[in-house]
Amino acid sequence: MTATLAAPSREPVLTKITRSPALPAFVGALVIWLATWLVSGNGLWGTLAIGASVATYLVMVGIGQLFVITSGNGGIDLSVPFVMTISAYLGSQVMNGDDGNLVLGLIVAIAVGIGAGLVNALLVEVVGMPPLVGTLAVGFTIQTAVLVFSSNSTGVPSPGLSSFVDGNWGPFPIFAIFGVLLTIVFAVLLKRTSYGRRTEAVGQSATAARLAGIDPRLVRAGAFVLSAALAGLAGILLAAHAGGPSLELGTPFQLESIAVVVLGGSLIAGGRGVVPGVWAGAMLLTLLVTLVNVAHVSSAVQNIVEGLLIVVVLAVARNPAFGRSWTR
Amino acid sequence: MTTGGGNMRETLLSVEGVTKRFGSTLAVDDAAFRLARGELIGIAGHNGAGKSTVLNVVTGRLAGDAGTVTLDGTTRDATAPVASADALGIRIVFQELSLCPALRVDETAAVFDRSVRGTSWRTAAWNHLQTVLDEMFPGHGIRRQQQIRDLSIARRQMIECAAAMLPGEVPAKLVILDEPTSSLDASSTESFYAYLHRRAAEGLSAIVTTHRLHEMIDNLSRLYIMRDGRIVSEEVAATSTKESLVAAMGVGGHEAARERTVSDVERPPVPDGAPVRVRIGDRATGAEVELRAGEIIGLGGLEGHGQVAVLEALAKAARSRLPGPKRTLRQDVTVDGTVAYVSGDRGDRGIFRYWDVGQNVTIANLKRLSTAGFVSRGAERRLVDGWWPRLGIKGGPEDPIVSLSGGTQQKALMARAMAEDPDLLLLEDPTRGVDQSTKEDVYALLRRQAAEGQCVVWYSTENEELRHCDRVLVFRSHEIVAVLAGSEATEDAILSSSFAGVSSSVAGAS
Repeated sequence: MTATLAAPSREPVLTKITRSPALPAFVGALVIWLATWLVSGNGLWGTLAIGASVATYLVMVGIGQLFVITSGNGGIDLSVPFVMTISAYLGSQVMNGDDGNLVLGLIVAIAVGIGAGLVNALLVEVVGMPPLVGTLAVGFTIQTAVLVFSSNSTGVPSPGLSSFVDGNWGPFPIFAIFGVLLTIVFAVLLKRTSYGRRTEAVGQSATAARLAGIDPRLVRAGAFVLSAALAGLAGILLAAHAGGPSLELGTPFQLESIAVVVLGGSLIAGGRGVVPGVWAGAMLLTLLVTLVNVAHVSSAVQNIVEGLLIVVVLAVARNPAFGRSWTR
Repeated sequence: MTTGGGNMRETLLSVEGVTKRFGSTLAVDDAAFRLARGELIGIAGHNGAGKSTVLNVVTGRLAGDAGTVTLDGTTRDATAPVASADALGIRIVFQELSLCPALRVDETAAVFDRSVRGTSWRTAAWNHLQTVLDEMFPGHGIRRQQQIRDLSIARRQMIECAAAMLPGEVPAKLVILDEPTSSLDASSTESFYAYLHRRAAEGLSAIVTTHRLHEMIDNLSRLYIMRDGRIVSEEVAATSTKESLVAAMGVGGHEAARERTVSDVERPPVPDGAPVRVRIGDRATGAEVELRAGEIIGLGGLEGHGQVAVLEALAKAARSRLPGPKRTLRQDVTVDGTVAYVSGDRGDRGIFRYWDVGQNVTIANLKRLSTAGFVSRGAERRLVDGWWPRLGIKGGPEDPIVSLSGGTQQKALMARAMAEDPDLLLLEDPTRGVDQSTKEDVYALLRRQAAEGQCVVWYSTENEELRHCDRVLVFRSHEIVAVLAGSEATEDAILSSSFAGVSSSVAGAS
């Protein structure tokens, strides 16, 4: 008996792929990649490389959001765009265009995120506010601070950081490689570490987790801190890409960071996160914008197409708990 | 079939051949009873005898599998659920207090009183409720602007009882009262039944179920006794005694035939200075129960009388970083040692449904299976493999947990807890909804854990199971009312101490 168990029957790789909840988003991204290549004539690789580079910002914020969503309890982090913006301003101020201040600037940007994440965690887990309201309140507070601060802010990110996010290493965009590495790190964190296991457990049933000796509040608080820290880092990197911070820097990320998590096959109610799926969702949304831009359609049509595509992907993906053979 | 006072008067309710199955369990088996207009009857039986189920079928909240229900000359098939029992003229007071904590008293009245309209709906509803309250519980002291959550449990129960008697759109013909007086003191109980008798004289009928047997004997005319889903006898209340009812409720007889599985002789003597030190102290009386390693302790008594609170406090005390005892409503508990918890409420408090069986087993043991935060897959596999043969689970550890039957899921949850190798194993009704052979497996597992020196604390809603315990703490109203040791812990003894002291504590509970 032990012999059969010691050599477990591993699922064939193909079955694993076809049963992956991220599959519809990956297929969708693939289709749009090919369509963009046909319409733009930019070359197959060039289209992908640019898209991946731009998508990495969304991937970073999306991964943080994924941990918050996966830890359950209606977890959602609406403060991310505001954290991104304030980190972009403060980080730029510290860097002030000088590579000598690069590391300090990055530390400040991340530290600002950690601080915001701690406040989010405090409001949700100690005060007991619903995450939707608590994180939005923190976000609005930060927004006001940014408005006050930005009027006499002149700093720009260091040139070294700009070349990191925009540079290439042979045919590969450096920043996209960084994004892939980051994804691997967090996929390992979720699926292979004790903290990741506890995150999914708490998301599935906080009561069962508590009775098994896990403190659900601590696990969820960790997710809020992680999310805001990643948003802070993404904020300063995006400012480096854009040549300086701006007030609307984070705005699109508020809802898109949630969309990429769900598109990627994670459960919106928590309990199961698919980290690589965030890439699928982010590539889908990013390449779609490229496609409608090169196809010269109006922004109204652009939004309609984007909306329809999200509907189609989610309809195909469905909730595995209700759809496929998962529950039997 | 039925003979009794009810035959003399016009029949209001006649129930024939009602049967209800839940999966493989026959919850109600061919139940039949009658109720006359203006009569007050009772249904008695221990937990799980089928009282609530048969009443739910009668009111149409639950669709039965067979049978008919005739109310006031109208016959209805018991297999069809009814949207609103109110419209049939049936009112129900539930055992679980079902008021919304955030509403005010007058708003709560309006929830029950559908007749109120217009801008002064609160006042109208409150006036109706107050009239009933004043008559039912003189000097109740409830004010209209109080929030439900600020009221004592007794006052909430008063509101529930009174709300059932509101005039409403269809006049009430039949009131079903499930433990209506469980939180009321003696004088409130008395005035409640006095009110009920006045209404009965006007033609209202009522069915009461309560574990306070003397209340049934004193206030009702006839009692139906249920056991294992069947109505086994009909008694005239006036000629019944508490002892005769407990006997009729069907314990003792079949228990004597079985041997006690755990005898004190088999158990190794408990070594001095055993690693587990668990104390459950009663704050009011100062009485203290000390649990020892290698002991199986049963928590008995009626459902919802504070047993789960003690279990959770034990878990909290063992895991807390702060020293000092943890409090429940009446007890202080202290634990010195490690702890694991198994709940019989698998869906909500046990399984992680998106995971496979293996992950469900290892989740409580991650600390031991991890190096620098990384879970070692090899160590995880070894742990699961080690438990697998002992559990006798069909299938493999990669199967999704939700693909297993309830009983098998429970075995996996037992493995989760036992793999922690705790000093103290806490069980919250672990055999709920589990078939007999799985139960036997669970009993065997527990015996072995105890023999290995663990202390097992086991709450069960099935008194019969508690014969596997070395000592049984019987709970009533969050107090430990009896500690039955070894061979004293018969079903009979547990049941009668769950009820014993009822009269004395009712007098003292105000």
